[in-house]
Amino acid sequence: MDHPPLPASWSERVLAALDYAVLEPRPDGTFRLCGRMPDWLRAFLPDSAAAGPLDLAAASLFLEHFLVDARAFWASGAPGPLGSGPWTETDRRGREWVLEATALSVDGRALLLVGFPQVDFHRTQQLVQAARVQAVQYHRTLEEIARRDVLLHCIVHDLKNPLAGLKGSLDLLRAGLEGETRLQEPAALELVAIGLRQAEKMQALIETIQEAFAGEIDGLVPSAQSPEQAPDAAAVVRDVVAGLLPEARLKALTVDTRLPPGPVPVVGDAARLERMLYNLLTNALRFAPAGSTVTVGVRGEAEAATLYVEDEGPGVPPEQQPRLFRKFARGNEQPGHVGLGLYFCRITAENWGGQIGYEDRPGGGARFWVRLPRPTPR
Amino acid sequence: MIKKKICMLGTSAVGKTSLVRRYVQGFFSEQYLTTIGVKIDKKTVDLDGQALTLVLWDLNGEDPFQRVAASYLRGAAGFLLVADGTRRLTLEGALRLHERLHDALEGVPGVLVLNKADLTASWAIEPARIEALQREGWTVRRTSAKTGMGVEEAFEHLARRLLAP
Repeated sequence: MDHPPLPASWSERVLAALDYAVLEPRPDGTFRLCGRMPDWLRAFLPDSAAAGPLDLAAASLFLEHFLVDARAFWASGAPGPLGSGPWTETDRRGREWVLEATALSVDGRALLLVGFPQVDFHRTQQLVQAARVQAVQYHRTLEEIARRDVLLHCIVHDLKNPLAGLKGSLDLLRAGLEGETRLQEPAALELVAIGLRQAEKMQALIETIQEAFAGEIDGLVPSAQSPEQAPDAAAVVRDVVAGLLPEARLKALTVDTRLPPGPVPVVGDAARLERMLYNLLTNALRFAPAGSTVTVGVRGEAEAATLYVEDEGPGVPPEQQPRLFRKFARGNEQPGHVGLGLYFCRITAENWGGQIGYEDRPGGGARFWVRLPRPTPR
Repeated sequence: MIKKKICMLGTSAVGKTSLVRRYVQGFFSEQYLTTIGVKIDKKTVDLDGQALTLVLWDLNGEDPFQRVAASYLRGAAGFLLVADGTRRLTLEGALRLHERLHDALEGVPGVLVLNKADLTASWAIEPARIEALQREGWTVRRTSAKTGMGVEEAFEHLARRLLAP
């Protein structure tokens, strides 16, 4: 069925239904509004501007900019409309609007349409946002994979040397036992000892890796919160120092232990606390110069206790300090150390509601500290 | 009153909108809402007794989903080129964007902002890289829209350059 043509006033009503402002430029730079004024436009105008010519450039910072392009477009007589793209701007009362403007010519007359974007702005925004979030996550995953590749390379490299030592010792033992070479008992025992040391190195490396990755999910494992179950930080320090004294003596290091007289219960569990302190102390022993002193201590306060380890070594260069507790941070690129020890310490301390930190030791050297909360009495 | 247009440039999700929000409204929101097109804000500052209105054009981030329209830069008196200090690629992307918009930005003073400086454990921009950029003539500032660190200073530094004779 063929309808009669709609009257011209209908197009005005359609634009009004779409909440569009139809504006015609005047020679003095202001605009004449054709049809009714949308509420959103009224919100951008001063009250005195409700009737008469509209100064759009004064009403909207964006339109002030776009009208330069629009006037050039009208003057050029170029075909097709000129769109501004969506913009977001706040009206005089602080309400935010998303708008879009279109400059066009109709029968040689310049017109400006301003209204809400015809694409579903918020849907588009959601889609673009989702894509961007995915892109960021994708890049982070790529970086993580790259770091894991480096880790894998380091692990292979770091396991290769002790494995070669172990195999060499076993080869010599086999040759001796099969009579290929003359091997006295002391020499055989020495080969066994060398082999064991190499195996222990590999074991320590693997344990560090396992702990670091297990530590990432240890936040789910409950730690001791009551004084009865809580590990005694002072006792942990004594045990770890006792275990590492032979290594310290080999380097002629003095280990100065500073502990309060009584027990210092902290949140956590003894095994992981020992491992944490072991990591910090072995680092200190590694970097401390022969003949110097390594200081290990605990300072108890009402709500927390601080364990600290100090050495008189070179300290950590400032550019390496921000990455010190990150995964795979190989500060000194030392073979046998994949950069997970301090990461393990950080995630463990944080899982227990504590903190870890580094500062230069006054007088030179490094000072690592771990601050752990005290357990709450029942 | 003097009015100056400042454009926020960079790749997506580096914190341009958060920097503007922190600077203009004084708060930070964890909720990420991507910018489509451009978002306009303004702030009037007093610099040694001189009132200056900064009209802040927070442009959409440049990425495969949206390109920054060079026409938005017309009339810009200054710009902040923003990168996420925890994602090295965003710095290179920002520098590529600056290069692409070279014609529109020629002679326009800018500050290179490395945002998210509160995330020290994830920081990915080496000091040597920053020094190299400074040697190339960039003014580099570390900011955190989250804590507010360095935000006022970055905008104020640019504002002072805009007023410099």
